[in-house]
Amino acid sequence: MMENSALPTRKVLTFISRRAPYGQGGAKAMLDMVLSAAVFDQQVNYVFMDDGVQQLRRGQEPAAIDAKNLSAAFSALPLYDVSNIFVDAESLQLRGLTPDQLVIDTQVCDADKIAELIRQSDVVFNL
Amino acid sequence: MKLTVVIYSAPSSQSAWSAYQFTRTALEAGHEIYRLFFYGDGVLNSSALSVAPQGEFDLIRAWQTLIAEHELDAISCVSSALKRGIIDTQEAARYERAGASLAAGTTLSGLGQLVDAALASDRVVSFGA
Amino acid sequence: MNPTLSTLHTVNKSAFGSDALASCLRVARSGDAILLLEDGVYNPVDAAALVGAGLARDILAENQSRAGPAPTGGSEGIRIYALREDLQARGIAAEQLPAHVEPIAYKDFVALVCTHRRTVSWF
Repeated sequence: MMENSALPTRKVLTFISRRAPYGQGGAKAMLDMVLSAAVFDQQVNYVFMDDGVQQLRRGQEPAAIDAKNLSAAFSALPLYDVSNIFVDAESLQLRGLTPDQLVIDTQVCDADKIAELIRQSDVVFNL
Repeated sequence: MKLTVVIYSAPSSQSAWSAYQFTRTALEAGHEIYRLFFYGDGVLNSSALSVAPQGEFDLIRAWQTLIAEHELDAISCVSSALKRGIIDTQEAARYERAGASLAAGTTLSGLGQLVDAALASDRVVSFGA
Repeated sequence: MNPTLSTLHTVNKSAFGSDALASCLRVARSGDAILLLEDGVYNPVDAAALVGAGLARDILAENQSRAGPAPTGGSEGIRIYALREDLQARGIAAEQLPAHVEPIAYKDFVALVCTHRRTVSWF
């Protein structure tokens, strides 16, 4: 098979999502970036931190505010081969959330792990 | 080095100016700008219809000049742009809108162009608010 | 630490109104650099208050609280820079900064982007 000469070998792209889902567009913007990167068959790390962990909270019914359900899209991430999904433990704890209250299975991690993911990345998007 | 600059913020935010200043300085230093990618509110930097108040720095015009002078590849994310009323003549026709509003020198395209830029550039720098 | 692995972090918000700085400080590691720009340049001036309020770790203020050379100065530790244009615009004189926060120009910002493996923007 012909390689696309314009593109180098696979890169590691890390996406740190730090915005709550509906008040502003950042969470959805980040999800769209992650899905695009996954389509390009790149190694993707998806990290939820700060208010970003609220995106994963169970029981969201955004139809109440005429918004599309963001959390439903997370269930589809395995279909895009996005399986490196991390949630910052401290952000969860500060917000009184536990892993069983989240819509998908994730790897709960500490700041050292996020630092390590950054250090292993070619490009980091943080929004 | 080959750099890509991602702009998330509207021209009303200082970070859009910072992105412009960074791009200008990188070019002066002899670096190549692989792509400017305007995303989210950042697409408002590619409005052809904005009018800067008299006496204020016209960031949108400055972007246009920089893009033209250096023949930069400047892309505004199409889905962000359509939502915010930044449309080219083709989209205006397709959605039956009164006119186009995309600044000359910038093209509308998808997020794939951002991923491509991430893969093809040596460095990616983002500016947001 | 191998400099080819290190990260440039940028922070453009005051820690009084945003968690950008606090989160950056949680994941920045020895060998990394932090560039403060826009409203981020207020942080070193407010460092003592921010640390007191739990909004920042003490690396922003450490030069004020420790005797001897700042550990942020060498290849070890985290180097901290602030954009000169943003300091000037906001009325912050260089002598108001802790000694380990280095004012730099835009051309130095570009150079930092190139000498670090990746840039992470916190906003």
